[in-house]
Amino acid sequence: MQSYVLVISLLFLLMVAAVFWWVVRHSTADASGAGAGGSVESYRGGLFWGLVALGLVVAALTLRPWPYDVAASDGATTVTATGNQWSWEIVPQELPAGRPVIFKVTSNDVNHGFGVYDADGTMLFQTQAMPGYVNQVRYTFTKPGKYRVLCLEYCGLVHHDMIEEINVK
Amino acid sequence: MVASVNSNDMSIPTSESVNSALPAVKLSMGLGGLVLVLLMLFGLCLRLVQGGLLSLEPALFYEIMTAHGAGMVGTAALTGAAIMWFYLSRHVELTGAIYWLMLALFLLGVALVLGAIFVGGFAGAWTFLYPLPAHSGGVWEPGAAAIFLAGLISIGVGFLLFYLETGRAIIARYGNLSRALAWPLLFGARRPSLRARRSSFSTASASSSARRCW
Repeated sequence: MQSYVLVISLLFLLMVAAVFWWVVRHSTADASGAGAGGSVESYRGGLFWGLVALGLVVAALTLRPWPYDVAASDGATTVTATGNQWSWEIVPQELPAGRPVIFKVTSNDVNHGFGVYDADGTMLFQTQAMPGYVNQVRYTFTKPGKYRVLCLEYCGLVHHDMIEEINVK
Repeated sequence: MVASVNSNDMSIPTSESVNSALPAVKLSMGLGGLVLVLLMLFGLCLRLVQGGLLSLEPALFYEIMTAHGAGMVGTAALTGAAIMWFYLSRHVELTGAIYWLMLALFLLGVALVLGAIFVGGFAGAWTFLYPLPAHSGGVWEPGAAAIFLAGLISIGVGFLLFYLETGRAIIARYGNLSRALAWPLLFGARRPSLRARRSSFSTASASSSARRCW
């Protein structure tokens, strides 16, 4: 994952550098000719509405499945997860594999982030732990094993050590 | 008000009000550059701690993180505003005193924010996500959070005045909000002719010439 981040970062750095290079290279050109005329006029409106349509399609495709819809959850195990400065109370901590689990997540003090990671450190799902409110999220663990819960919202002095474990059998 | 007019030049002449803010614009850019270097050192420090190459108490780590966040956002906002003012002032008539007022409120805010962090121990991150500032778990007093918030408000009021002034000046130049946002370019109306855009600039003639060209 780190190497992907490195490559992507370098690519974007190169793109930004190329833009700077282009601007500096053309900064002495005569501006009075207004190069932005002509062909741009014919497709600006189409480009705008095309991007709006693309945004709607991408949103519709990426928002399904919707993990926060917990209505259809027959036979699901319910777990309560409560954040405190600076620990998690998760009941129960042993969960079944292959069956849906509904997490009811809240907080006793400040905002926390409830993020669940597998053994490889890949995040599986997350939701906000907010005081005075219960967020629900549904997830089905496919493999037994140990999963880690990390706090994803900065919550004060010991935020970085707010780690708990879930056992899936 | 208008120092010179050249009808063959795309750039709009400078006015007295623009010149009066120029030292403040340069000061903003100079401060922005210096602070950015300091913030890079802060960021390097945080990464060294995360990488296990440097050891810091968590309280100080999160104070530096808070200063780094507030500083990066503030520096980007201030230098962005300075650049915008510099170029915008070539096209519309801006009131220089507003820029000076924004900069003064910004510097007052910076002093309050830094005091809250490094004297008061506030480390609730620049995001100030309620209720963390009020529930520090015994790390900082609510007073430190209040001073930090007062600093953000001072900076925010300065930017509010800045953007109200730029918005006012753009609308005065182009006639109404829709034209000021260039919506006619997207929603059907044709582009103003170059000749009209080059028309002589003055507060009195600007809106009428803009109406003609849109």
